[in-house]
Amino acid sequence: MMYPRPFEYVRAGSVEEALDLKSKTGGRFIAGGHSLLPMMKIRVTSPETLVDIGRL
Amino acid sequence: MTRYLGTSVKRVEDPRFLRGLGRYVANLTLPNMAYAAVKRSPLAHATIRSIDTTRAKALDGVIAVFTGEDLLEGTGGFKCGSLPCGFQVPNLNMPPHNPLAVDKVRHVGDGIAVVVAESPYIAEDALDLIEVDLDPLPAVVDARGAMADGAPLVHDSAEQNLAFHWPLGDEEAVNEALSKSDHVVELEFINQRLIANAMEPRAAAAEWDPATESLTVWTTSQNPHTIRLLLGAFTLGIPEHKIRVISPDVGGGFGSKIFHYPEEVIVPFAARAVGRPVKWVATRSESYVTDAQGRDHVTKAKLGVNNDGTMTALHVTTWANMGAYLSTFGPLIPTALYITLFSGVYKTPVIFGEAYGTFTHTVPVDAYRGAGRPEASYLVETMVDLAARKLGMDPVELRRKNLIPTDAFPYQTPVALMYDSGNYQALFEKIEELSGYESLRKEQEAARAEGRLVGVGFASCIEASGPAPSAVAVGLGAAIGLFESGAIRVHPTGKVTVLTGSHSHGQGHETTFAQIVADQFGIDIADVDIVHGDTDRVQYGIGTYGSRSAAIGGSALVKSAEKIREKLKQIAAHQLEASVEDMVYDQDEGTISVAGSPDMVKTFAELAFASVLANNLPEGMEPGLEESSFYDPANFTFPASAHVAKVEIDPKTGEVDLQSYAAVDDVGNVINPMIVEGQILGGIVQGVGQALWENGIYDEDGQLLSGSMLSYAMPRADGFPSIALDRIETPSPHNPLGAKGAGEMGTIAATAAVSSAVLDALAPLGVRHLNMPLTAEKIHQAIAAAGNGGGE
Repeated sequence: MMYPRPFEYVRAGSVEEALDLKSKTGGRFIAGGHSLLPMMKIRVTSPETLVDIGRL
Repeated sequence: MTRYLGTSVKRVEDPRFLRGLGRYVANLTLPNMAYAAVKRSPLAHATIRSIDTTRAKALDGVIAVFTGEDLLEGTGGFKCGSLPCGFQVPNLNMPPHNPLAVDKVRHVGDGIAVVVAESPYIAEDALDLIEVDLDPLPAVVDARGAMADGAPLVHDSAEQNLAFHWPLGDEEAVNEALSKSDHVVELEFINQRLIANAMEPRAAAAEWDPATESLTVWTTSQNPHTIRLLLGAFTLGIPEHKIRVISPDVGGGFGSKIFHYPEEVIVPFAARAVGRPVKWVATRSESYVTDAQGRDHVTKAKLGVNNDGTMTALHVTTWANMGAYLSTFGPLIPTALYITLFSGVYKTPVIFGEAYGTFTHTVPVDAYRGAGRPEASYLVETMVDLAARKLGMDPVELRRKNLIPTDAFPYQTPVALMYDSGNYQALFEKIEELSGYESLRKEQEAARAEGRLVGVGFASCIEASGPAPSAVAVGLGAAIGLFESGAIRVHPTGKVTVLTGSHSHGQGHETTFAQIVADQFGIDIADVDIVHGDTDRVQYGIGTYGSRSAAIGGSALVKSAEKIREKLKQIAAHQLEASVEDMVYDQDEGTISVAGSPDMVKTFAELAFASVLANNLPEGMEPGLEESSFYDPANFTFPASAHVAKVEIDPKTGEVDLQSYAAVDDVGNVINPMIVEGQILGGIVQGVGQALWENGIYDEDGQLLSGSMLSYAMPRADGFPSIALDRIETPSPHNPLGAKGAGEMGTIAATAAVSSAVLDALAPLGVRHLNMPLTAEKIHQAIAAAGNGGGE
């Protein structure tokens, strides 16, 4: 499989916001995505929310 | 005007690819399009107890779900048939191959159901909601093991899992010659399974037009007309003239896109059933478990050799893995494209070969770049190396002793083929010079004195490309002739559209074929467009595989061009009031003039316009300028090659460092040196991939352990030195271009050359043979075992 299950995506503007979003949503951090995205695509893991810390 | 043949014209197709303007099946979006995803078996062998699609059908956005039984029973009066095998060797056992499994699944990836949904994401989600109750059964994955007593049967109708047994040659004479030989070297080895990994995964889309009751299928195929034929005659039962198959830009095939695949049946069925266009695009994961795979042989071989190095006889038995179903050309590969190549470039007087094609619970196996011929070359060259080592002879010296002499062509081998032409002595001279063979051996000697593991590998190989003629191909089992068609349409302004039955999926036909046609007429290459890959535009076609396009597709174009030049001469003669015999076609200038009167001249464009003005044509001549030809070659063409590789092995890690590589190939006359060099370079890289890294591995339960790019080791640029290329040109005597196949030669020789180099490096340790891929781990273990007093 190469399509992940549906998920929400939010981008954090600061470290504080990132921590806040993660605790509120129970989601997972994504930075580059080289490990997480393939795992999502083969549906080994399916987080409900991705908190993007790539631009921090 | 310059001539284009033999020059490195830049590829005219590349600007669109480089700018992202190529149009692939996956790019296709039609109004109201729906998307398909296929539920696949996670088990290699199981009984399907039940399939419950209720929850999947209830998911918002799901339009329909079909199972294998739905396809067989059909809907609205149409249904699907079994996928046929297009190469029928004698006594072939051909069990049904349903587009979606019914009753049983037979390999991981076997399709069970198809979901049609509003988006690919919804379709994928719905797959999780299909409940399939599978009752696991034991599996068999090994080609020889499949014939063992008690092995699980893939198909109840195939006892011992045997699809066919194909012997060729005089076994009695071979056994007698072996018994009289001074030495017989024997080896049992594996030619491992490979996975093609074209850059673009397969895709299929379809649209049913109820108004005309016609179907359009877009598919990533190397041969769209063959797919149309099979859809019409076997799998969909829609009349052939009501089917249009389009293979637009296709991102590589390497053989894996020749075959008729289940999705090419399922998607049109679904499109017709739901009344909407439907598209399916394979994920890379699906490619690994559904694209036909390559090689996978277990072989026992005996080569007889006398003290003076003369090879006396070769005896070979191979068990060839066919996978769970017979792919379209599966039985062809280990038979007529393998055993017939056992003579190599040598005059071995007697040869016997036999292949057992067996069913296993694995993905079907079919042609993969080289297709049988790399397996044959690896076999022959490995045996020759062993013979040289046994005799203490230089492997090149032993080869030279056995070469077919240059004056022996056409040469009849003991295994059916008649080689058209060759000059192996010249090939050897050139490769020894290019590679610096003698100095490589001296370097090796010095390195060995220091205890270093340096190896020099040599491979001299033959290829039979462009299987032909049709009468022979059909006699061997092909279900269709192997000619090619080419049409040329000259427009009123002298611009030219060429319609070819060959298909380009990376080869550069839009350039090389334009070079051929531009030269035929003496016109600018920019005035020639090549059309391929559309059954509604191109008259007919056999397609591109087996290194056949230049020699066969190109020759068909030459034939059509000759007809057009003849017509142009007649028009010119009429208008210049001269006789046709006096007309001279200047292919440098694109003009026709009266011999001895250069002022009495007409240009190509003037004559093209005259043909449609049609007010001043010879009596009885039809207007217009369009000709079509169907070219059926007299024979295969026989490219040859000699490659040299030098490796050094790290004794601590077993890692192979490929330090130099030189290749001399003879692919006959070369149309575009840059393109040929690119194909040979790419082929070498692919061949080295098999020697060192690639391995399609199934565990005993039939799970593919190397089912992604994380676990299947593709060659990478950092594994290669700069590769030295050169060539000789021995034109094929029987086609008008003198061309031979170039697409597969690199792959065929490189596997043998690099394996030879590694085994040469390890020989001082007493290592006699290692199966490919020659990974660091495997070599490290062999070195360790040798250190403990034993090689393999």
